[in-house]
Amino acid sequence: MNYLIVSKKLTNIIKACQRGDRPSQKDLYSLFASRLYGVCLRYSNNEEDAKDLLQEGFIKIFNNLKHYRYSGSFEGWMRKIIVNTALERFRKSTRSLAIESEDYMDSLQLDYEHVLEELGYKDLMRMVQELSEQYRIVFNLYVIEGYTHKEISQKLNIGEGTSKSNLSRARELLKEKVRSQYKVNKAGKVI
Amino acid sequence: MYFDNNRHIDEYFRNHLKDYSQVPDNSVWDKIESRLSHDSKMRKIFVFRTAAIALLILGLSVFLALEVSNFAPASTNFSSSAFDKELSLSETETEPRYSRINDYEGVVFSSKDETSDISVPKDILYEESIQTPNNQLQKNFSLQEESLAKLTSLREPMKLKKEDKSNAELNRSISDNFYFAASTAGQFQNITFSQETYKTSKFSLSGSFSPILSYRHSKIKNTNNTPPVENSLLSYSGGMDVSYNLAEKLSFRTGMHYTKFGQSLNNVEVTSDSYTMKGENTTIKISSSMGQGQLRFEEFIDNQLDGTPDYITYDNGRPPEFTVETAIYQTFETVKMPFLLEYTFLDEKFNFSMIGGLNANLLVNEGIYMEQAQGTKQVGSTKNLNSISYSGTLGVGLEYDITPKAQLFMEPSFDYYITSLISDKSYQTFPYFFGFFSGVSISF
Repeated sequence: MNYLIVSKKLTNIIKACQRGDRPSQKDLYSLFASRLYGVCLRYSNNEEDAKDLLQEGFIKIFNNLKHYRYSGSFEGWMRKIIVNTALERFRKSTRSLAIESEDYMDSLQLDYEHVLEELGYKDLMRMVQELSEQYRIVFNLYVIEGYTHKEISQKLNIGEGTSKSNLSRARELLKEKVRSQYKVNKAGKVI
Repeated sequence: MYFDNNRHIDEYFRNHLKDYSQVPDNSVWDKIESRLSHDSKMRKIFVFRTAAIALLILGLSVFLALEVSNFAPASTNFSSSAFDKELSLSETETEPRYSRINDYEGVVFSSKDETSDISVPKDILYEESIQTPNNQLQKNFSLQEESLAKLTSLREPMKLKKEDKSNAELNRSISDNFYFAASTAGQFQNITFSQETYKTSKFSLSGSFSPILSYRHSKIKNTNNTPPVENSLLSYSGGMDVSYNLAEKLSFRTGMHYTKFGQSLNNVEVTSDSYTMKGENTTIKISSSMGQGQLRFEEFIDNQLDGTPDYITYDNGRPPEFTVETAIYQTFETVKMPFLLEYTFLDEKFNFSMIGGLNANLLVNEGIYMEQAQGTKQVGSTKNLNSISYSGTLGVGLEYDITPKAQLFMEPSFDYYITSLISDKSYQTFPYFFGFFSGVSISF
């Protein structure tokens, strides 16, 4: 098993944070805030929500630092907390996750790999943010975080079939967004 | 076509967004800092509130105990100023007045201003006749030597009742175990009382330790997991207590104890569904009656020393399924604050009492451990635990006075959690443990 070795400097910062040392907490925040904010942006549909999620996530990180065992990736440990915080917020919302169960396995005939290369990071982030919450969460958990549909179904209290169909729908919507971004027709040619 | 395969769009978004970073506003840290300061303040408020509630309970108990207590310390009947630190036979009397106190004949002594009398059993007095300078015979009473020995083991002040001077009959409520303290030792003519003689030991401080055998009562709902074989765990508990005597036989006790308890798990089954593989870490989820635990998979494989254990085999890259052959220990560490009442049945050199009450338990640590070649090592943790739980205690106390102020004690007891340790509602787990506490207490 390969895993990052937590550097001595970072270990000292973590230990100081466990003691409640405020300057060390700010140092830790400064080291990881930008990357974790990227995670928050993926799970939110606007920057304000992403900031709230980042704030809440870091509070949980500081409160749970005593449980960190100094093995494995520290950033991975923090990311997990951020993702779980996002899921908690989603579970507290009253929206229903399973609204469609149609089979969206048919793929569009698109062939514009070179066009995708021109899409900026912010464009891609915006496309993900524009997805409805249920599609966005399933897409993030499956594609980015690497969870299986079974694990997603347990986390979100939905069926595996619903998780799969939501992922398919998310993919189709993203493809449509890419197409509309560059006004490419269905034949896949750039206009 | 590029997007015919969903893998392409997945890979593209994953490759570009997984490590996406963006600097947030400075306002985010300001809000985090404000929350951390607020949370720290709230924790202090919680500690103070708990202490205030404990003091309130103690104060109410003291107030109620004083209201209902029929113990009248002699100081409330005989103020030191009334005695003026001396009692003697009235100078006008040549014969002492005798009276009967239960089975003892007693000698009545009057205060100098004759406002109060004290009756002392004759059997602890040494009587001798002396001739006064004016050739009168005067009886002097002093304490017998063996009575002095009794005085040095004084645990409670003399229980005296004010004699009704108009009535020759003494108050028979004076107990048979009649001790009284003297401020001076040795033989003396006058029995001297001082404020200190009425001083009682109201408080005591004790320290105790016990091995404990812990287990749990559990109700698990809606689980398809095959539970492991669970057994009790031998661990320990210890701490300090402060007791306050509410009444003659009743005391209130509180303090702080550290307790470690848990259970051992055998034949823990790991199925392919138990795994979570993400990035560099692989965790295994297990279920027991004490909730869900997460273990690090690499702890089962020691590539540096023994290699993969025989009971773990791989099949075509799928996560292996195996039964863990070594014992796994699920442990929990709490700081317990007891609120107990102790009622003493027998109060001699050996004392016997009953103890009962409630405890507040603060979870301070937990872990899942496994025996390895190098020793016991933490391999994971239990999820969804309540940080504060409440338990009840029932026990008996056996106490031996080694000095008037110090006692050795043993207290077998039983603790049972009355709120679940697990916050997940599908698990209702109530740990319990048996302990045999022993320790020392000091009265002051």
